[in-house]
Amino acid sequence: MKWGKRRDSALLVTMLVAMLLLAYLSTFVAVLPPLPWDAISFHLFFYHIPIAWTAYLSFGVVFAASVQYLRTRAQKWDMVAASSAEVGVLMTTLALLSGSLWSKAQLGYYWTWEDAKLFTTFILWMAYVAYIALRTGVRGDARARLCAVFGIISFVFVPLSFFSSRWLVSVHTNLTSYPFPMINGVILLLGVVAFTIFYVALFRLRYDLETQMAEIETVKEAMEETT
Amino acid sequence: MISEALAVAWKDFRLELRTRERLSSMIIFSIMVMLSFRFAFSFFGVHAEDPVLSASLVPPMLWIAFFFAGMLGLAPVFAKETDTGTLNGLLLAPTDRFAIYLGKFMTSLFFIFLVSLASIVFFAIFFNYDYAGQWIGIAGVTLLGTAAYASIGVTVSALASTAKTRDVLLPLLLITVTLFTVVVPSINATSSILMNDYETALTNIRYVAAFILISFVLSYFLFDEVLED
Repeated sequence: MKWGKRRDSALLVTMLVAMLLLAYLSTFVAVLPPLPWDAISFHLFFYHIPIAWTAYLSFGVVFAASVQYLRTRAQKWDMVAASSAEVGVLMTTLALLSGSLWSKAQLGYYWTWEDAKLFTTFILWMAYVAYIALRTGVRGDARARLCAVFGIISFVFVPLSFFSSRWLVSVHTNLTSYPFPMINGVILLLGVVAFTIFYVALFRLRYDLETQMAEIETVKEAMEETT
Repeated sequence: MISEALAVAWKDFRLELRTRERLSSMIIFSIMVMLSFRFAFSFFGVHAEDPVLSASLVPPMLWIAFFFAGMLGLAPVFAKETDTGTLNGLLLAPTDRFAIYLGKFMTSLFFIFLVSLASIVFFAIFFNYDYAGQWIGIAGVTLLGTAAYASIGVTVSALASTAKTRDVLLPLLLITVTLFTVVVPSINATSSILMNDYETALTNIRYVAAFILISFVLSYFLFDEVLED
């Protein structure tokens, strides 16, 4: 436990430093390519892309943990999936919000339904909200199993959301179509690293909470048996 | 496996013939929805000849009816088995669980498609609308769309059936899983057919067909886990 606490604070400090560094670099060092729009809101991309990456990553973890749970039936994997799903929903919310802000600044509206990327990402968000709803709706032994099944089904929407701007009609920008200076790539990479650490730290905290809840559950059961 | 699936389907079908609970509630619901639309969009009754207006208005109205009537059809698929305690008997049957899925899929598709066809007819009667003569195309897209809907709907229904909050959970899970993958492409395909744009229709039909394949594969691997007890 002691080591766990120290590792958590180490993670949080790393996270903070990485975030500050990202803020500094993306604001003052980023070289903005000649873009067909007012470039100032371009800074948002250094956050938006890493956030979206983290969202996909956490749902990938939910998927992997769900498969692992069905294979091994170890409660640990169920707890991993549950923790990662919640962090993922938070990240997707942030991705939707940051994308929405950019859209308002550049295109004049916060949201449009006629856009595949926005629509699929919203559905992705909904799928994992539904996952959490399923988790609260089912009690007992069946919960982990059913959640694992839905955790696998809902992963369908991750590639759908990721590739939607390439496959379907979308206003979503495809960065590969613009001249992208090297330094931006480095900053973006740092952003991805920073937000991955952010994810790991949040996941760790949430996972510890899940362990404690499981402990309380077993203590409760033991008490009920004795009385 | 097919004969076992047919046995499950035939059991559900006979049960329905005796009680007529599912089908009657679905049909009544579909009439109610169409009546509500008739009053809400009464202006459309006058402008039904306008091809652009009808192509954008008719498919969503139809699919709202299909979706929610279909949900009424999917809700009792396993909930009823759980409530009457017959699920264990079904699980004890010496067969692959996927056969149970297939059987349930067949009856669900049959009922949902039947009610959807009825909804199409109700709509035509209430709005005095002739679907620009594209009856067969509309029915075909409806068959494909409801097949996709039922294929994932049976698994989702099984997922939700054990939950205490299943009445809320089933709509939430179903809307999430089918909105973008089934409902939207089906609506697009229907409206393209009404506009005589077969190329767009084919693209959307391909999406739906691909999703049927995906949901069959998912169900093949996961259905066993859902029902395991």
